[in-house]
Amino acid sequence: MPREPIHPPAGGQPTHIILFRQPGAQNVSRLSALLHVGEAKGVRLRSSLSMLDEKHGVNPKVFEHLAAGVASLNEDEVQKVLADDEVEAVFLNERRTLTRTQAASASASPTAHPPLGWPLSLLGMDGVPDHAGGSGVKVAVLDTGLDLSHPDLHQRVVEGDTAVSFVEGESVQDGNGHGTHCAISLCGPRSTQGSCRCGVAPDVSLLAGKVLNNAGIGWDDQILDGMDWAAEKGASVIAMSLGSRRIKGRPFAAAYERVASRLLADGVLVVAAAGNRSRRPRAVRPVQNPAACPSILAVAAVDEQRQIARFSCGRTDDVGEVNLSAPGVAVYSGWTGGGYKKLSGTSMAVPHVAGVAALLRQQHPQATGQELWNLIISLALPLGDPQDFGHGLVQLGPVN
Amino acid sequence: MYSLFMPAAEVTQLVHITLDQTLLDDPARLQQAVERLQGAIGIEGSNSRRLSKYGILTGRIEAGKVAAARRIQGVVSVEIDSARTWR
Repeated sequence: MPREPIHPPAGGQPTHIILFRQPGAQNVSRLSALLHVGEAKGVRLRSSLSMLDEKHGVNPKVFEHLAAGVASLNEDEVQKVLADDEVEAVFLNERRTLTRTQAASASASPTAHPPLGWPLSLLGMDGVPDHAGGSGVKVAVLDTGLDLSHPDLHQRVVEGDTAVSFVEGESVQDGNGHGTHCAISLCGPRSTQGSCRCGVAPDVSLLAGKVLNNAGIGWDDQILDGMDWAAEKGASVIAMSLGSRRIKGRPFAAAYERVASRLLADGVLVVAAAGNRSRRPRAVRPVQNPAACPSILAVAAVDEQRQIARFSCGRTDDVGEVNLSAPGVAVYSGWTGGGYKKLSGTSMAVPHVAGVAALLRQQHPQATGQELWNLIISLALPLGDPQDFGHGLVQLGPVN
Repeated sequence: MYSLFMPAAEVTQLVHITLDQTLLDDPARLQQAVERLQGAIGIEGSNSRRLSKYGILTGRIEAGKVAAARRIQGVVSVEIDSARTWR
């Protein structure tokens, strides 16, 4: 299959990305009906695989894989699409315009000792001494890259060495924001221009593998290469805030399981997002792939009150279980352009678990991968139904 | 470019074929498994490191041969290269 990123149609109305709740061929006719494509007016649909026809008969594989489309829409059309129950979100196809985010301004200079953000307090990090920052531990974030000029990531990576792009035609520079957010949640500094400290493990050695393009989409081939690269670079923990829908009862992704099980045997912990497709309390969706793999730690999201996030996927079959929970609602962290934003998602929960894993690795450098897995599970604070929370809220535990 | 009107035999897909893990311990048997796949479905591996380290053969095959690949001795799983996202 061709692998070009989504290209916006030229000219006309602003380009929007439409995300459907379910992938499938029905999205094509749904969108056509919503927009009266046959009659109107410059609306053009495209996908990353091929340009779609303006009427019916478009390539259904596009939506089966991506549950997404791109269209040039005016404001009325945006509202019409958004009003449909099967549409999850519509957002402008440009940087820093994602839905469910709140901008936060940065102060002019770093604050020496800003307060801990609530997610770090929830992890039990109040009073943790400065020497417990993950020094000597390498952690890889496989995501949309990094904002290399963000003050909270200053000189954290070397492009081409510890920061590498696996996306053809795109540098490691983050044109999306998601990777930057996750990385700063993982290892943002103690002194920051943000309003609070958001990095769990500020002293880890960061590895950044860009496996998702600037539209936030990547392919297994790139991601598997990214995992192998991270392991070769010496990562002890690999954070993957990514995945795709898994239908209830369908198997875990065998290739990811093969790689993750090998890495676990080599001492590397792979952490992945459980997924954001639930609509609690009405509907709980199964843990997505690759988080459903038995050798990958699957992370659910909780809010500041330790309640399960309404979007967080859960265990609904014998295949994909939740292993841990972590803060993932309105999480404040860095964003492209040097700023900060609050984002929600199991993506945001992943770097918190990865950060705690790194701090535990620092304390237990000789532990095997499985021992580290068992330790982080054993320290978790039970919160409720394991189908939702797994073993509970990830905790740092006592620090020497 | 992919088209609905393109004959199925001309459409190829990138697949990841996970092979029996025990083959990793025996390079000769691993090579035999790869040759069986090449003969049966015409796959050409594109990532020798992934094959030798993880026992995953990645390559392009005709879309209609996925089911046949799953029936070949030593094959654990055949997965079509899929998109993932942070959404």
